Amino acid sequence: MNSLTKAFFTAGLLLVMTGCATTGPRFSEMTASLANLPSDTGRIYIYRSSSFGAAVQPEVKLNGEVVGQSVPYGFFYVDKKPGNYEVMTSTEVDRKLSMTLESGQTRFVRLSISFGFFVGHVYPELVEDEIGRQEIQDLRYIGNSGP
Amino acid sequence: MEEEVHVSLGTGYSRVLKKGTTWHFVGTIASGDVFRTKDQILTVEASNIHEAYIVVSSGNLVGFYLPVEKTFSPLSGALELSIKELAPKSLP
Repeated sequence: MNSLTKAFFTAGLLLVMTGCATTGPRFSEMTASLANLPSDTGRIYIYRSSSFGAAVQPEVKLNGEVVGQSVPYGFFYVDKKPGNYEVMTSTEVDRKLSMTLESGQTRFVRLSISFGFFVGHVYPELVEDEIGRQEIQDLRYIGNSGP
Repeated sequence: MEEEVHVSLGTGYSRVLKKGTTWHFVGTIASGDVFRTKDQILTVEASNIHEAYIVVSSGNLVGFYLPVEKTFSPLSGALELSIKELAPKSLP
């Protein structure tokens, strides 16, 4: 094995290990203990269901406010008043998702990775409720930051 | 929506309006009537992704209304829709 192959192998192994290192209860284990949705608010689940590009873990902003981090196999949620929201991640470029939120509504935002010039781009996408609910089951709660 | 509709966004992305979805009138802009649905997620995508409603004029899909940006994103060509109008619910 030449040095270049070793370097790629090591980097790949590190990425896989990083992706597996996410801790916290699984969504399926904490469903019963999740806080009820306060009246006159909606809930946004934000999650990342892949370890691809695991080393790239940018902050996630909601209307400019840091609410969490893009961690492989992790999820968090925020309860917000109805209105217009912009989910944004930044690596070498900003990637944004604009969406509405209604009272009593639950929305699922998946964070995916695409190739970038120097680093991968993490982009938020709005997914169907049933798909989000399914994909989030085995992901781990990483908590959120900010209000 | 009586038939599935494939829409090319002109940004290299495409979207499908699913058969059987029900769309509700939410308002009118200069380009047509705006409808939204809770039966599917609809977004338009370029460098960023935006939630979108459809804009219909004379039975044709003419573009998308972006409710957060409050802007109209036109299609390069109108697409005929196969739709069935539902009677409005009667008031009690």
